[in-house]
Amino acid sequence: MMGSSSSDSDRQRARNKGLAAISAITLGAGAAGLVGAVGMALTLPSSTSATNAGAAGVASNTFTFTTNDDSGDDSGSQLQTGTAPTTTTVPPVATSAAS
Amino acid sequence: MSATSTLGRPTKTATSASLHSSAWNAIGTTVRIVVTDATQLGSARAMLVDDLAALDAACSRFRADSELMRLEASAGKPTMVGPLLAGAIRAALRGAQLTQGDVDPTVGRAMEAIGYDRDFATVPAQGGALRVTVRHVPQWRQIVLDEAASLLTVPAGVRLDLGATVKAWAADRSAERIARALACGVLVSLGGDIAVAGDVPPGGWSIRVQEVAGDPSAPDDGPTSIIAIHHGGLATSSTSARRWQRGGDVMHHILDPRTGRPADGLWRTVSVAAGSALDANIASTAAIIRGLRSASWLARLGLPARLVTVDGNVTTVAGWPAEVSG
Repeated sequence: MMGSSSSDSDRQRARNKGLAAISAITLGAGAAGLVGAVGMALTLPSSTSATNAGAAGVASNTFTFTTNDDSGDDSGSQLQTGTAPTTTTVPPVATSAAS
Repeated sequence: MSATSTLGRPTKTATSASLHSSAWNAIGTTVRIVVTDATQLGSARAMLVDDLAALDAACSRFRADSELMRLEASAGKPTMVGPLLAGAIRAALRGAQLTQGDVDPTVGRAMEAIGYDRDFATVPAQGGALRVTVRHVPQWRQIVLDEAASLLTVPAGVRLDLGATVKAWAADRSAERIARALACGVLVSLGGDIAVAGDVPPGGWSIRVQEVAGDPSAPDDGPTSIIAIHHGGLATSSTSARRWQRGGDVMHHILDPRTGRPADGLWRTVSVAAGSALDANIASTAAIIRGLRSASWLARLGLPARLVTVDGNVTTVAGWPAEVSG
């Protein structure tokens, strides 16, 4: 992941002030980099856990997340939820994928 | 059961005893419509063709004569816009607002800087190394849409790219319009962003979820899930599609607005079910960009989702059906 030198809240404050972030990027064979940025280590949020479902009949690479609010991030709270999808044996009539 | 799409040659095929579909290519992507009433398929298709032609004329980044591109001549002055472009801009700003700028429509220049400056079908798959300087300003807050006066103000020099949200928004709009007009159940898929409206077929709308678009009857291509939805929408965002190379660097179409670079996080594909295709797409796109924290974010919002890591491991949250091994 490309790095960031500031936290989400820092970035949000900067945005709110209309400040510009300037990134100089060099793209090329073996030379991709972001000037002036620092790497950001990825760590699992302490309040989030991923458990391998592992039960019979469930694919071994399928995980189920159990989670609590982990960040105070209230973004997306107005996104409309719908009914959860269900399993089906009916042949599909469409494909959801990137194209 | 279903049909293979060929550019410019729509197909019509019965998908089951009660569902009928037509598929073709338009607006640079795959299009599919499915209806519950076979007698309405022709009318439904014609309505969708008209909707997409109007959408392209209003919102395309790749047509110099589109309303979107003609905006740039306004150089920051308030400009009268039609209802279609206004609606698409409203949808894009909704995405930006609800994701704190992770899904930002002002990435048009950055997208061009990495090589996506024309219809994707004509973007060279390979190219020389690029030296790109991206001056990034999170500018979505500077876009002013006065809907009462139909006036839009875009800062001079900003090029909008509505690609992240416009297909899903258009799928919602067309599905609702067609279902209401023809009094039947309708599924509209625009590049894999799916909206359903009207009557629900028995068992729901069965949909294959995968990484790269393909015919629903084609063999599996990577990790695949088949689910049914009854209302709203379903969207998949993936870094596995719309990829190209410049100087050995792999590019794709989901940009992190903070860096102007293709997002490079934990997830390569995220699918979300929501109350609309637009909201599903906003969430799935933001999840790609947000990386690790996306699973907990989606779970907290109660948005059923399926996330695939770059290594191919699948995570499901918020009621998305677990995947049963064969």
